[in-house]
Amino acid sequence: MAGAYAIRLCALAGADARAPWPQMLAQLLLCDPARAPWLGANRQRFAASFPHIDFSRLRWGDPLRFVLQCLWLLLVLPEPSEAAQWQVPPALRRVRTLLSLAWRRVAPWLPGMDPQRMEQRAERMADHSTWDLPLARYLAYLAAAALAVLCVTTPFSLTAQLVFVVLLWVIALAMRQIPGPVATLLLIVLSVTASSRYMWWRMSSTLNWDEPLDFLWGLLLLAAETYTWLVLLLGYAQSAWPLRRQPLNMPDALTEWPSVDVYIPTYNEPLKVVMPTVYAAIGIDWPRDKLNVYLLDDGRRDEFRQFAEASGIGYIARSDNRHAKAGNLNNALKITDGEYIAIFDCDHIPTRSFLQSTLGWFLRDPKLALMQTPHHFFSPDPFERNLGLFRRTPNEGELFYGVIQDGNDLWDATFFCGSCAVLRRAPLEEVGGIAVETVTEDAHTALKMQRLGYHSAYINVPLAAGLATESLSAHIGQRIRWARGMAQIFRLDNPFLGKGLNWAQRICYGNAMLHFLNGGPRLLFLTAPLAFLFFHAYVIYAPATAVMLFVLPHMAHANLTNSRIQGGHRHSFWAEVYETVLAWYTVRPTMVALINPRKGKFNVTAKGGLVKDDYFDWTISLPYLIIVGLNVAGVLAGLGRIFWGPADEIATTVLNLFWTVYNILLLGGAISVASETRQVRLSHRVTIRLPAVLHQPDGRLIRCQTVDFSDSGCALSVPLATGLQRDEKVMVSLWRGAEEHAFCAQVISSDATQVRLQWMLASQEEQMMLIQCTFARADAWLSWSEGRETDKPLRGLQSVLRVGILGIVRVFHYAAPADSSFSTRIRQSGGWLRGMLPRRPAATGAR
Amino acid sequence: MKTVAILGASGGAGVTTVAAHLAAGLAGSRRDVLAFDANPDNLLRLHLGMAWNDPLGFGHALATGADWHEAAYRSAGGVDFVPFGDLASDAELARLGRYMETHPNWLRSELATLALPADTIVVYDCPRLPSPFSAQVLAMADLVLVVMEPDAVSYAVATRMVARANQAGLPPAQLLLNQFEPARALHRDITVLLRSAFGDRMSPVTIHRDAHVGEALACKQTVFEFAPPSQAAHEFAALSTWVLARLGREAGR
Repeated sequence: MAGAYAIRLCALAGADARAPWPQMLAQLLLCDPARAPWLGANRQRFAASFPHIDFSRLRWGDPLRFVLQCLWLLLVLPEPSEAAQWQVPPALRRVRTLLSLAWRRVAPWLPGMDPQRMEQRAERMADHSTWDLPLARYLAYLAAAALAVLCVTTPFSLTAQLVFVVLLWVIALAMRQIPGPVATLLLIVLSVTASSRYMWWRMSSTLNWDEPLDFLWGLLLLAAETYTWLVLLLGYAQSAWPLRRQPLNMPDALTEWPSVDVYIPTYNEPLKVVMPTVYAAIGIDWPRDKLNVYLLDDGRRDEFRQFAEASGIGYIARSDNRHAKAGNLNNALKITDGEYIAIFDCDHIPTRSFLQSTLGWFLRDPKLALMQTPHHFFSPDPFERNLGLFRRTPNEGELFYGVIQDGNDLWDATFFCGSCAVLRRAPLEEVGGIAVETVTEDAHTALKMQRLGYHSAYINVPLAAGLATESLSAHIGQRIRWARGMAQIFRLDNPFLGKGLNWAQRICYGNAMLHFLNGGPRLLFLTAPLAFLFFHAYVIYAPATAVMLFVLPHMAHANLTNSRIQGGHRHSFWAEVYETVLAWYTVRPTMVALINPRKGKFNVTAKGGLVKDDYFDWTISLPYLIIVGLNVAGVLAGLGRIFWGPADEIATTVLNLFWTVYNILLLGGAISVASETRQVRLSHRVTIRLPAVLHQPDGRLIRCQTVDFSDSGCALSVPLATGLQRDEKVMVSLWRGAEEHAFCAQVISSDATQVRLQWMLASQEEQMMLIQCTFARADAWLSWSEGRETDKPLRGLQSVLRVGILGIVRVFHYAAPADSSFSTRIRQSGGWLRGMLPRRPAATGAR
Repeated sequence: MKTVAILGASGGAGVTTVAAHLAAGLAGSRRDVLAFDANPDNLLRLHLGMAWNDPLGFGHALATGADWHEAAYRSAGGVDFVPFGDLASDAELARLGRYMETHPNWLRSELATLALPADTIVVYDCPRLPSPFSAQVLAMADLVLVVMEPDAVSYAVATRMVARANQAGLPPAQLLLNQFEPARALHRDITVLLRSAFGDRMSPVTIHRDAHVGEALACKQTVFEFAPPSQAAHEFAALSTWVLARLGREAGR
């Protein structure tokens, strides 16, 4: 029997089945003797599979490299086609074939799952008529509550806990295959079970009451973890079922359309930034006599007044600057009289369909006071620019506008975000205009309106786009303002207290405010393992295996479920980086605001600046460098404990070391955002494909597409070499709906596939037309997320860790001069580590 | 068999160019097409590669008593066409015109005798009205395209033509703008005026003034062969698609 199997194995491997068994074995393990790898040309092929090992001069690390490369070739690298330049060595190929055959034998036994059918089955079960009976529902709730209490509070032995979490994980992986909202809710239930179990265990059995230091650290950490758990649960409640509201059509009779005032408040931004917004606002599709655009200039600049007059819009300036933007808007509210008010920040360019998409709901629901739309950014924010993520992964704001506000909409808890929104005048005047008591006047205004019983709505389609924050310091400044404002609202007008809100609205508003308190807990998590490594304080009074068995499921389920809910709008693990960057800076303002909400002033977010050189923002990153230093010291202390400390603590030390290394990498990611890259041009290029016609000077017209455009130029992809020279004058046609407009341009560069042009616009009207043909197109931002990778949690983790390592490396690059011996040695050891990694085999030439 | 008649609102509007390129575009979409030059100017054939001094055509055949079926050609691009042919004198042209007037169904009956596939589209290059040749074509047209330039005179003439076509019970005329230059404000304004006045009766495709067309003609080719990436080629392809859709819609009525 064994012999039969052996012969089959060898035949599979291509050995001669009739040869004696030693030879068969040799043939199985190596190639055929005639093609042994140590002979002649085959040695080259073999060596090409291991390009980083020189077989004639083996080094110390080579056996490890050999093993890693073999594993990688076997398991990771996809099978090359026969025509590839290199071939997997035959021995390895045989093993691969064996493995794939084995898998093919086993796979049919696994139950097949057709996702569509499973989804339908799940929906049918959820919609079953039994659930219409109140008795059935309440019995089910009771049973669920009893099961929940049982699952969460029953103490398990370690083995039982292992079995339980494995079971939970297998169920979660199975649920993950089924698309649809029912499966999402089930995943949420599993995650809540795992996390609640973890919290119960923490609270009941991991605090060390005897040691005061342990107790103190433990309590702090427990408070932080309770906060995280609460935010997780509230987040699930908030975003589990996005409403996905669609725009409603306006009535056919134009006489029924209401009058709208468009406010564009500005303070100290350059005119160049405000012009596109004004041009696009003028071009919004709405009856001319019912649309009034107003430029609200708090800087009282002549340039702006003249521009407003030339463009034919209203100009409103007041004599003082009390209450900053809120005061500016309230002042305009007194002077104008449109039934509805659309507010755009001075750099948020609206599309032509903005009003027609948003006002339909106001006519349907008389109690609707606010319609909010997403803030879409066409320029990269500091994270995207400095980490090179632009257009590849969703940016930080997309979680809020893509998931959270949509989820808020289900509970009628959407709040005003200051721009890209329409408000009804009557409710706004009823609450006394835009709120001035806090620095986040927008959210507070929405809260006040909802307390009076008005509704709010959200349409999850980008109908306006603007500039993201320019530098990390500007970004942090903006977030500090939001954090402070939310903390102020929490103190002055707490959503959990007071009347007028239902419980779901309280939860949603409360969650929005709680979110900004994450600075303290994040800092605690970044320094918690140091308590053990330095002071031997057991913050979690439990053996390391128990900690792993409880923490890992909690984190894994949370990541899995969040990836499912948020996957298109936030890639896994990036939330950690974003929070880390902001943690230090939001702690103090929120604490101050919680204690004394009336202190603190409004700081305007700078827009339209230019980062002139590559530089490293030492000021911003100093706190994190200090924490990194502490963590590195902790790593050294931990290593010391491993070698010279008591043997039974090694597991705990290793666990804390892993945690510390993870923190270092997160901080590295945060620090790498501080490494500002140079911003080369003042006008941001937007990469979008639009149909265009290139009019050459000789009268020939070429049909082409835009590659990117900005308000100063564009690039066209042409199907053939145009022969245009630099500085030649051409024209480019772009469309605005069915109307075609031609713009004069000058050639900057031209090659076989692309022509880059600079606009030479003669009049203001042409500039307005250009904005309306490009930024203000109704479909301008709909295809923004094409070409993006889908979210895979492990890949997210990998990219965050890689960014972290790069960040640490960059600190050395900036800190130490390039030729010092210290940095050279660091660079060499970094290179040695990189040399260990497996790599793609080299080409061996034609075969 | 479907009939598409191409007329002009004024001379030099580009009727022949549109007819030739529409036929070439339809042929490029793998449709069975026949381009028929009903215009005594006999210029359609030049877009399709026929020799300049070749006098053959259906008019020439009728005048000399030959069989006009022998006067059909196929261009290098695969477009079948029937030229008008050279006539010896104006008197011959007048005689031919009178013949057409006395035999108003001549064209219809002659085409019926041809063994064309059932879904062939015949594209006619018609001379300016009034013309006996155009009358023959209009009597059996499924779709009438009035080609016009975006200027004031064409606007006036086209408006009158469309009004007359609606009265006479003919298939409603569709307007097609040709020689459009987006840089000219007058052209843009007239386009907007026409779209608001005629809306659905105007072709959504506007043909630009493109130097490629003239250069292609100088090489006796269509722009599809001469300069495929040109805007003109793109537009004539779009026009073919639209004509097909329109013919299908008219048939469904």
